[in-house]
Amino acid sequence: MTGRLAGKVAVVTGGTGALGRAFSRAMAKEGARIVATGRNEERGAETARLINDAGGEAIYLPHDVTSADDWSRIVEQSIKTYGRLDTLINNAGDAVLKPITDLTPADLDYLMKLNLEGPFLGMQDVIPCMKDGGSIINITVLTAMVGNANSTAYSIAKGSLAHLTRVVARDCVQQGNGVRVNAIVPGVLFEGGVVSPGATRVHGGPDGARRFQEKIIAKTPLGRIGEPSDAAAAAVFLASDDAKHVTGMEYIVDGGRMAGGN
Amino acid sequence: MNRFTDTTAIVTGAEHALGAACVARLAAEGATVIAAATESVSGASATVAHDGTSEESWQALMAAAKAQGGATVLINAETGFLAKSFSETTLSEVRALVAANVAPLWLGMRAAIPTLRQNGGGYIVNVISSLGRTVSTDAAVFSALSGGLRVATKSAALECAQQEPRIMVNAVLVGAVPMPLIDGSTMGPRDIGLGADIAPDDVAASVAQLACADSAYVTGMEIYADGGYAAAPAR
Repeated sequence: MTGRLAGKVAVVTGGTGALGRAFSRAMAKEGARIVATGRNEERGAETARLINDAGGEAIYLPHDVTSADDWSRIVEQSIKTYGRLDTLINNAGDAVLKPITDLTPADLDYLMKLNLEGPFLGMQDVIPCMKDGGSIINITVLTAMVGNANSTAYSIAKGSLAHLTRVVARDCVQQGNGVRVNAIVPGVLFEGGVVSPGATRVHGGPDGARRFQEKIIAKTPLGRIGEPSDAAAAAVFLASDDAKHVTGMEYIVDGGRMAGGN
Repeated sequence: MNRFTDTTAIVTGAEHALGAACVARLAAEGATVIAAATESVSGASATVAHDGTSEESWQALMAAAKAQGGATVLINAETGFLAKSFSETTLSEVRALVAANVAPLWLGMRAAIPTLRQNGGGYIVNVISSLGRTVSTDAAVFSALSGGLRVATKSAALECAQQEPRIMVNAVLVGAVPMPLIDGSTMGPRDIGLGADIAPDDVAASVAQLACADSAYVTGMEIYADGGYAAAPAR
């Protein structure tokens, strides 16, 4: 049986990071050709190399998602290279986690530009290029659904992206352009299910990572940390024709943390 | 793609379009499927006559699955629709809706949880109407019960998450799909403004996604196979 994404072309922003790389590799394995974008050239090139070495097709393009000019170039080069565009994963993002009293206007500006404006610009550019319909997947976060300490500015940005997902989904239904817009809401996901020191929200070296791991496991009904591949399985589904009537939803991959109500 | 190789799955409501599509999809991906249905179902390895409101019938279904390798997947796809407003609905119609929607799903989860645990854990997927989120005045009681079934799914998910071997419990919320009608209903989900028609095969694609290891870290979650209806119902 051919792959679930055979013939499709996907742009993955933040294809330089662990989650973006997992999305890229899982979709390539199902037959999609991948344009992995991001600011870190070394890691982006590595994502493309891993896919090409495994028999898939991928390129890396440098990309600042807050730049409208960069978006134009990414879309143009993707179509020039692979002839079409079917999927966009707005995965690039960042967090600044501080109490509201310590946050600066510059923090808020940075988070809104990266987490909200970037995906907004990307959606504007790709929707007209998705000639046979398409699938846009915005990556949000649990704190876009529920409150979390030290997370005000980040929550505003990601919560806005979650709502943008719903309204653009509705726009696309109304326009009848066949473009579906969904979110994936990952919980805490690390390779091998083990929190790595130095990751976002993880402070205090190996001991801090262990404490963070224990804290998250205690809050997670399934009792473990997930893996990037868990979210990648959701991305493959949402990008595929299996999800052709799925739009405007939040696909939560969190070990059950939101099951108790949100 | 064969996500159900060496997997035995039970699908209820299999004589109707939704259940039959689930049987076909899981079988196409390699599952041995036990169809709970009143007539033989294409793609199923066995068809078992089943009364979803009877505990004995559920036990018989689990026993039939045991003979086919032991179930690790249950798809609750038995439904019954009634397009009546709150005031028009009689108590006997409420009871009929409970018998068609609530009892099979609840008894099914109760019977399946110990069985799936014995078999090393697995997946339960409940097929529920999107009206459980959006609220319908045209199908008021059906809508209310569907809302309750969403909560039941999440409760069962949390209960099952607490014990090894784990069972993931999720739901597919469906939009305008064909459903069997309760006596007295003249309109189906496709006739009451639920948005674009959804093919049963497309619902089955979402069911399959939640019934396999692609959802190993997903529980108490809902996929909306409803063309965006719940995200953007007509207002």
